[in-house]
Amino acid sequence: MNRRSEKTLEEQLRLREKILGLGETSFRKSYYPELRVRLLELERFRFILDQISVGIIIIDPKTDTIVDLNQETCHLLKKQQKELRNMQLRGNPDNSVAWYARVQESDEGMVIIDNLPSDNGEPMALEITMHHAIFGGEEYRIAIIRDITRQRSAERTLIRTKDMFESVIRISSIQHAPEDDILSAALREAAALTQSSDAYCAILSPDESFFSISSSFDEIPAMERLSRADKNGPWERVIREGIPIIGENPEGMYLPISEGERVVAVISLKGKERPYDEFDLRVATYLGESLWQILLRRRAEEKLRELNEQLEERVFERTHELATLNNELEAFTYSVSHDLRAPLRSINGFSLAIQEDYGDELSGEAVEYLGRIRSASERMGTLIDDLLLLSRISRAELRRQEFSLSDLAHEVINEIQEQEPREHATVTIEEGIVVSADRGLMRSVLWNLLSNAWKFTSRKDSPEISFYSQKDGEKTTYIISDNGDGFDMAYEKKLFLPFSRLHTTDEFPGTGIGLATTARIIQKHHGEIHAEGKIGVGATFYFTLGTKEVTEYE
Amino acid sequence: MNEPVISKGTILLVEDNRDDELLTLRAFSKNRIANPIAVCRDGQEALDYLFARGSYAERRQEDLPVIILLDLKLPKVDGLEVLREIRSEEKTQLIPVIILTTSIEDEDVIGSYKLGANSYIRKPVDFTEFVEAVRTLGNYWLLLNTNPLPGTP
Repeated sequence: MNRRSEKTLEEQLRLREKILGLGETSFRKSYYPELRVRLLELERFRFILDQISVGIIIIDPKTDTIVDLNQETCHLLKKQQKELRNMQLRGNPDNSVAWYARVQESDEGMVIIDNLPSDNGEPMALEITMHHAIFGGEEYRIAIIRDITRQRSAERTLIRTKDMFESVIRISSIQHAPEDDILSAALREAAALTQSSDAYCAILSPDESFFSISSSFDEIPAMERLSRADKNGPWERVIREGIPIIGENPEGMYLPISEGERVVAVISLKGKERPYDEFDLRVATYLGESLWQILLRRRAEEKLRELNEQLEERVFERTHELATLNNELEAFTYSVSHDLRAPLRSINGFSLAIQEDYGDELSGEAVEYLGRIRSASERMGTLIDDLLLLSRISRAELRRQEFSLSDLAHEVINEIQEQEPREHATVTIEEGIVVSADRGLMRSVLWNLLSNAWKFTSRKDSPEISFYSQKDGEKTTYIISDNGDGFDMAYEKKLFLPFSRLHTTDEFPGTGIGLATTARIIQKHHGEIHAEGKIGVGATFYFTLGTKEVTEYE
Repeated sequence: MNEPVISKGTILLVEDNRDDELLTLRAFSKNRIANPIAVCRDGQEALDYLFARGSYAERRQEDLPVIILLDLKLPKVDGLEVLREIRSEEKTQLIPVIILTTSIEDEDVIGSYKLGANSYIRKPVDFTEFVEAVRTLGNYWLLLNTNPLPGTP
């Protein structure tokens, strides 16, 4: 049952009779029940003493000899009961009791002995405390020996784990350093954590044709290339099998770093005095994996930085291209404004000259044709002017100011009326509409929309045109409607395209650019425009103007 | 007060387009403007004429035009540059210069007035409009009562 129950029951009984000085029979009739109880108590304590897993030694301080001890003491000190009993402790050269002098000297009355040899090779640690006691008027010392091997090992693991995390933090906080410097630093950390002299890292090239080697010391040039010729070498084995090799010295330890299923690098550690153990592997693996994550992150960051730089470069180039194009466009516009009109003037002027100078010699039809040539040249002149206006508006800068759109509408409609007087037109303008917009451009908008309305109501007996606004929450819509000839809603989108016309020039004159210009101006104000209409009933144009805040960011 | 007198002095027309030249002359005659007209076909020639240089070296420099009609887009030296030279020379700086061009670009209009152009007329496509414009400018600039021309008492 228990290895310490060396004495058989029979032996114990014989010992009892010997102590009491009586035979078994006599013992049963003993007149010393008190003695019997005491003896039982002693036996019980002795048993407990031998069973507990703490070593207990009773020492006579006068002679520094061991008076008594329990079984666990023998186990912990690796000595026989008889070797220890009566052992003189002071100045004893025996290693197993060397603690005695030290515990006497210590202030706390406690010593810890590390690295004691043990049965399983694991170093053992003991904690020994010294206590004073008085038995039967005599002074004794009691040494209590506790096995703290496990506790110490747990502590060591904790410390190494802490060191490991600190290493990872140190590596990941390295900034603005070349990759090889980070690798070297990480390998130095790995060597220190595993008590190795050297550490290497072999990273497979992307095409897996060679290794790039880094080391914990500086003798190897940065990222030296190494061929993969040695197919039986430990690195190749780790790559193939994906599992670590923990060899005896001097081979050291080899462990894989994987990315998913694929081994991407091998870390090797060499030069530890004792064999590499599981803990070394765990530490090195953790460090290696962390290192790999750090490298991957750095590479991603590097790539992102490069992309950003490229992007900036491209934006710069594009901006430059755009500026060049813009200049070209301006030059083009300028030349259109000058050169395209000149031939028109000749056509117009000389047609008139023929009409005036040779009208008598020409047939009525010929004179009419010359008239058509002249009006065509005039239309084309207007067309060029309208196009120029459209392009100018596209290039123009928006200058917002607060002003009354109602007043501007009155101004515009008066001008229209002057140019093309009409008697029976009803124009209704809502008063007090104030906007924040470019006044010059808004004049162009109102001119286009109101003159359109004016134009398309010309065939009505009682033309009606109105300008008003509608508020919907934050949004205000401005509306110009008429009861003119209207248009087919199928062509609503075409209205705002340059040169799109829904009527012939004979029906209603115009270049088809006015509404395109209007839409462009509204867009420049971050607003929207659309139209509704019905043939023969009328047309309504709705537009909004973006807020001041939006345009301030332009 | 002087009586308004129609100047009989030379009109200098700086125009590189032959058609425009013909049409301008026609517009003058339509408005019965009978002044002698000198035509220069580029900016350099105009400056040579005004300062009696080059092919105009024989010309009497004192005979200056009463008005100059100046196109802006000209070969060799452009109109604005010609205007700048006219205004920077003492002899010519008071001659009325009327810009007669097709451009209504702000930079041309503003640039012309900044350099001291007296008037800016955009050549219209419609010839009748043009005749009207020439009439107006003839009436205005060829009347001498308020015009401090060099050589007049």
